[in-house]
Amino acid sequence: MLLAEIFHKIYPVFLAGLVFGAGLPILYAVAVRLVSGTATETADGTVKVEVQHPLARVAAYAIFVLLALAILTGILWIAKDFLYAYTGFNLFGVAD
Amino acid sequence: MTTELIILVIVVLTALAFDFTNGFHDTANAMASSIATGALKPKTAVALSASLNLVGAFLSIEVAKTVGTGLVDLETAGGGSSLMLIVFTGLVGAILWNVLTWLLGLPSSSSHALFGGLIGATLASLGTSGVLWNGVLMKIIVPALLAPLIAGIIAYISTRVVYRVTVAVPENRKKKNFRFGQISAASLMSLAHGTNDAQKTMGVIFLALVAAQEIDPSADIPFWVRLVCAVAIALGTYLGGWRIIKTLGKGIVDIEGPQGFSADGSSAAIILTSSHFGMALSTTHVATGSIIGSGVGRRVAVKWSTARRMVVAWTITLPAAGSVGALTWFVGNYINHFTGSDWMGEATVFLILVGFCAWMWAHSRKSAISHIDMHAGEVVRTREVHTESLPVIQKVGQ
Repeated sequence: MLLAEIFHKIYPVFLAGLVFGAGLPILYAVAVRLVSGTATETADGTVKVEVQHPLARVAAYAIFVLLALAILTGILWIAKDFLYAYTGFNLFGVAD
Repeated sequence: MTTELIILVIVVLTALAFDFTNGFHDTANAMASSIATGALKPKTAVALSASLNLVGAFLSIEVAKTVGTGLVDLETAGGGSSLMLIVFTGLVGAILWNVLTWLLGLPSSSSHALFGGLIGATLASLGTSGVLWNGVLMKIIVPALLAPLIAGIIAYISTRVVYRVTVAVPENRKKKNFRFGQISAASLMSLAHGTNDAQKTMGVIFLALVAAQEIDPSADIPFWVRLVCAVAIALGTYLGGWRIIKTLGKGIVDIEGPQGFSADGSSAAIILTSSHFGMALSTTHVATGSIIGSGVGRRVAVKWSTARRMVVAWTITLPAAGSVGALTWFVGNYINHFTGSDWMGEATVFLILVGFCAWMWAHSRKSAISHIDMHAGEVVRTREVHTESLPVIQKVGQ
């Protein structure tokens, strides 16, 4: 059945896209929120920024480090076949 | 110079021309939203994308030495001059479609154009048995229909949540942080584009070299082939394809910082993972789907008429490039047949290609769009000097 075949091919693509394509940007947004503090507009129109708890900052920086690693992994992922051919380094064992 | 060498030179030049159109056609995919949100200045964006495409092209090692595997069966062409004519007219079909869609400012997949051209030329030369229809369905038609949908849904979810999470973040922090995030995602896309797309042209040139018996089929891709392909795609990217950037960046939805970041994040992730998880999706379809999805997610007006025009363009990419491929194959083949020449057909098709491209380029100058059109503010042409092609323009409201 063609539709079933298509579905079986497409759902892992969708799930991977969802985890990395929506998950990582949302994680980044959470970190930005944690590091930035809360802005509230007061009655007279000025914007007041509340400073965040130090622990929130720590959590935010932990997420930033995680995301930097994700980007680095992305670069290595693009170069995986190149790296494997020239250095023998096999990222996640998937280079060919 | 022998006839084979003349034809080889023509085919290699045409392949590089395709690579070049591939570059400027796809700059928009990675950079349109960064330019639209102001994360990068237009010229900086194309320069960054071009450099990363150049680097990316050198990273492609596992070059497809057979072009269009699983789509067309070129084994039966028997190699030599008949194979050369199929590849050549396939390229011509792809280039003409790329230049036409650029003229109309429509993003369309360069891979689909190349495959369409090859399929058309194969049909003309070998008949229906030369085309693997199941491959065409599963590798081209299904992904083309599903890619914008998948990317759209993911970008929609991402945009909704990102906006909800950051509603209390001060405006200046938002701007700075999302700008950085967006540039990172766009850079990854550009690098991946160089790696994936330059190798298509490398494969075509390799095939031509094999057909001309200039190289052993089991040999590595020569360094000069890598170099010229990398340079051609980078130059194309740097040129910018501003007509398409304008459509994607400003023509469908209004894009602001966090939204552009969500769109680029989902595009980059899908492009990097899709082929590994079972179905390679076209960068163009993914990027367009993400931008539309992010617009729906932020609840801004989407110009569905423009989106519809794009979908129409995607639908007819394959038959249109294929028809040109087939038509030019007949022209080339019968000119060779009736004149008894070995190269007159190829030379004629080459002149047709150059003629049509020149005509479309001249046509584009009537309403030239450049990087200046992508800055914020209104374009005012203060004075025109010398010719229509050299307007002196200046931005106001910057």
